[in-house]
Amino acid sequence: MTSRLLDLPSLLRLQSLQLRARLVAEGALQGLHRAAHHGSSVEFAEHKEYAPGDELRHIDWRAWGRMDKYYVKRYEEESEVRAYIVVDGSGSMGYGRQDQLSKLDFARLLAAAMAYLLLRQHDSSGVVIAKEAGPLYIPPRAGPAHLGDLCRALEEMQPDGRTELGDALTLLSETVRRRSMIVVLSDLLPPPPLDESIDYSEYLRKQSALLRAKLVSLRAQKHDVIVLQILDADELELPWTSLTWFEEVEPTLAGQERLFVDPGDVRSAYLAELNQFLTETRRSLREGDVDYALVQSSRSPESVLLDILRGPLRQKVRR
Amino acid sequence: MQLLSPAYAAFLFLGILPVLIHLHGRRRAQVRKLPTLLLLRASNRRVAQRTRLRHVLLLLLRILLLLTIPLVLARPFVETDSDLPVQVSQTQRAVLIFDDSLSMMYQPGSELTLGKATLFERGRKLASRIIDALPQGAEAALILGSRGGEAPVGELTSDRTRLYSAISALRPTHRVSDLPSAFKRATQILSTQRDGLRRIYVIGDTSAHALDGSLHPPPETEVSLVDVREGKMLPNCAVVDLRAEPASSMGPRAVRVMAELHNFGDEPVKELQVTLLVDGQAVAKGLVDLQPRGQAMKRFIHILPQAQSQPQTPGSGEAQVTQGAGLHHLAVKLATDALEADNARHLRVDVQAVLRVLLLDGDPRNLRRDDEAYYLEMALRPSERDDSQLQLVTRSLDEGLGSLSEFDAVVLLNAKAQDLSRRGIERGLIEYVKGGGGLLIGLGDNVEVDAYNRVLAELLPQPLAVIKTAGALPNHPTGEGESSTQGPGEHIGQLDRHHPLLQPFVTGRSSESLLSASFARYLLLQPTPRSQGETTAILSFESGAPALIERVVGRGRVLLYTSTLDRDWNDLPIQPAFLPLVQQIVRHLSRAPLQKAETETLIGQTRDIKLQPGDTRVEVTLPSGKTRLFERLQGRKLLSFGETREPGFYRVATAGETGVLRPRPTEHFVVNIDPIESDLQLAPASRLAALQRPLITQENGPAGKNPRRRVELWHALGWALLVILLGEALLLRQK
Repeated sequence: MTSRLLDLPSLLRLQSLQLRARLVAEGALQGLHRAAHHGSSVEFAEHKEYAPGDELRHIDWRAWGRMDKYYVKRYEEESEVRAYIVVDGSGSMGYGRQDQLSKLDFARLLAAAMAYLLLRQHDSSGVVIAKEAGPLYIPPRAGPAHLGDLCRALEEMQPDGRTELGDALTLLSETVRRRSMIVVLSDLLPPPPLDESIDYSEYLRKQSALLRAKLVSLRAQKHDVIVLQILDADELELPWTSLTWFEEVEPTLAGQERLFVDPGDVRSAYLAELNQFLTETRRSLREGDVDYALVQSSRSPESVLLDILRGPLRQKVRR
Repeated sequence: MQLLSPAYAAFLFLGILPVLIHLHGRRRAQVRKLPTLLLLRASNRRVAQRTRLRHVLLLLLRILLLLTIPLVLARPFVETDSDLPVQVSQTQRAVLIFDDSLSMMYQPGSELTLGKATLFERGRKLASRIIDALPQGAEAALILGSRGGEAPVGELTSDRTRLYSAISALRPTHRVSDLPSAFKRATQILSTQRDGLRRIYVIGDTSAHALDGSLHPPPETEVSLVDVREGKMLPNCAVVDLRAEPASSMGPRAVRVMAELHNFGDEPVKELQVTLLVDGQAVAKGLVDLQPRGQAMKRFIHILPQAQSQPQTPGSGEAQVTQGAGLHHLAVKLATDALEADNARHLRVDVQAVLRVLLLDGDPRNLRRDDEAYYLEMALRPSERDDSQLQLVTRSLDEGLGSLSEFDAVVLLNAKAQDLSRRGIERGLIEYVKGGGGLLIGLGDNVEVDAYNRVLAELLPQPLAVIKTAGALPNHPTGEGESSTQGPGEHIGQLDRHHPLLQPFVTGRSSESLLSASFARYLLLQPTPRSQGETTAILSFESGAPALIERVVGRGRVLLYTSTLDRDWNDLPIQPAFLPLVQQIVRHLSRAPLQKAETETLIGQTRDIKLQPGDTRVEVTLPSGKTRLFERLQGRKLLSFGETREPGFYRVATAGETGVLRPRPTEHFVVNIDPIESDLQLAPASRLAALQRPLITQENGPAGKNPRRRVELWHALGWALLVILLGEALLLRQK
């Protein structure tokens, strides 16, 4: 069977994020239909007193027998989904190889595709863009027209400034009361330190722990939290061999912007450090019942979306 | 330091290249943004110190590498004072006499500051350096300075490769030095060239024994002594002599072993350990103190084991000594010192087996003193000890011959011919002798000449002629057919001193009593045609008539004593010489090894191996276990074995027509080193000066100035280059 997933160059040729998001979402849905269906029947959520217009087949006859009233069973799939998609707009998200999607491009495409899927089924979805100047909040609404607003905001977003993902999460924690779905698209990398004498490993550990704590606290507020950590292949492999000046992407102290190093000398130590960082992130988020996935930005967005639909969004999106 | 190819040194500036490349690389390094720089900083901080050190080392190694390559190509060298005693860098014809004698095996200890190499190895290096230093066009030859040493390069050649290979192929020997012969040969080689400077280099230990007065430098030839010991005194201890004699008071197999030890050094030696080894196994140890340049005799008494075939000592590496009739390999060893080769000396000892002798008495008497066998019994068994080495059985002819196979020798005493033939005794005797037995025939009044010649024709060395009376015998009238010469009696006049039987009588004093014996009567013998086989007159009277004559019959031998073995015709039985003579005769007949001091074979000497009729092959097993086979020996009586290159015990095996090799213990022998090589006393300075013949020329440079030698450094630099490359590769692998 020929894959209908769009190849990346074709996708990049499309100017409109909305169109691209739709193509990605439709492609993912088709992939979902093709896949073997392993899901169970919709899950029971609550009882509702019968009202005219409700389907008779959903009347709970046992409840009638016990309480002499008609109650209708309501199922989870019929619940209204309210989704908040958090996109990290810091400078580090702007990284990407030439002819490849940057991490931010990848994140906004995924965000738009997910919003499209949710709005398509009359759920509401909003977007929070994490910026150094403060989070840009677009509250969730239903309706196809809202997709255009979301896509416009995502398209206008430019990667710059230091990472302030924590502020965006704090905002959600404080404003969202109703149980919602929160999808975080970020590289989860802390901003560069502003103290040159600091122990970098310790700083990384502490900053990551703070961020993870906020994510876990959102889950503690009964929200469904999905974290997609988006990293580039270069970050995962450090593939270079010649002496290189490495520069910070996000603003930092003067004199701390560059590091002259032979990648071959530090590759082993770097990969060990990275592996420890990723392992700790995965472990602590899963312990906090937060859905987590590491996504390489060179992957096809459709395949990533397909994985999400089969995983955390399995019961949130109808086919 | 100087350079052979200085042009290459211009490339030394390349050494700065790694620094320039490093600086350029730093400037031209790519700039990349990396969001995970925080992780990179964290990991870099952990490995920075190690990485920086590795980079600095790599930079240094690369600088060194680029400095070393031009240096190697420039072939640097330094000039130092040469330890060669002469300037060799002149065009010349040279003969190198290399002393490969035993003393060159000396391995100096650290106290002599000569290094750990043996004198031989030092000499080899010096010889190579002399060849190195010879200028282009110079020709050289190489000959050995030991006795019997060959010439590895026997003619002048400018082929350095040949000379170097000949030098590297040199091996030390156990031979004694023989510089006069080497000088003679060197002179012959140099005489082929008339022009140019002719020089002889003597590379050796300049010991006094090698440079004695018999050594004269050839005319018109320079002689340079290259002293490998650098004039140092070389202490050494050695076993210079080893003897053994029976210790009869301790039993028949007891031997007294006497080892003469010398200290050739100027310092006393305390508690030097001396070990006696029998058949490769240490049986006794002792300690000896030796004064400076002193000597001592160390004595051991040891009871040798019964004759048997002993297994090889496990792990000793020493060849098995197949024992014959009481044959043993004795050795005395000293504790290890700088010259190991002279710390042991070897000896072959034959322990006499019990001999069984049958006396056939042809004239038995009731009165023992009048009996024909009386004096013989007394001489062969002087005491009645149980451990006597001789077992005597005396029978009269009337008792018959019985079985002769159990006897090693038979003595026929004054027997009548008719008694012999009547009882068939003569047939038994002939078979016995032909089968390998030994027979002594003693004459007397019962002997009838014609009957004897007829009955014992196959055994008599020569037919009997007439009885000669040389002096008056009391109560003994001259009989019919007897010559009537009267006088004081006759004496033994000639001794075959080479005959092993007469070994105890080789010195004048011991033969005095033999020569003083008076013979009043004896039998003259008829001349014998050569076709009857060879006879040997061992003792002869003053008149030239044989007194004791030997003939080989078949595999055995017959001795004819032309007088009586009692006092009827002579007074020899009451002379002191009678006892050893009779014992020697019996041992000779029985082929028992004679207890005598065997003539020592020294390294390089030829050893005669006696062959028996029928021997076709001889195999000699050397102490190292190697074997040498000699074939097609039919009809030869002697085999001259010259391959006596190593000290120790040599075994001989022979094969007859069947081709099966069987050990012949009687021909086993030992080879020892010449003790003269143990004395490493330095030749006097006057002697050295007399031998050195430098013909001073302008080329030799100012008198008294040390010669210079060039030490090339590029070999070492080449190795350094390899090490640098290896180090760089290892550092790069550690990324």
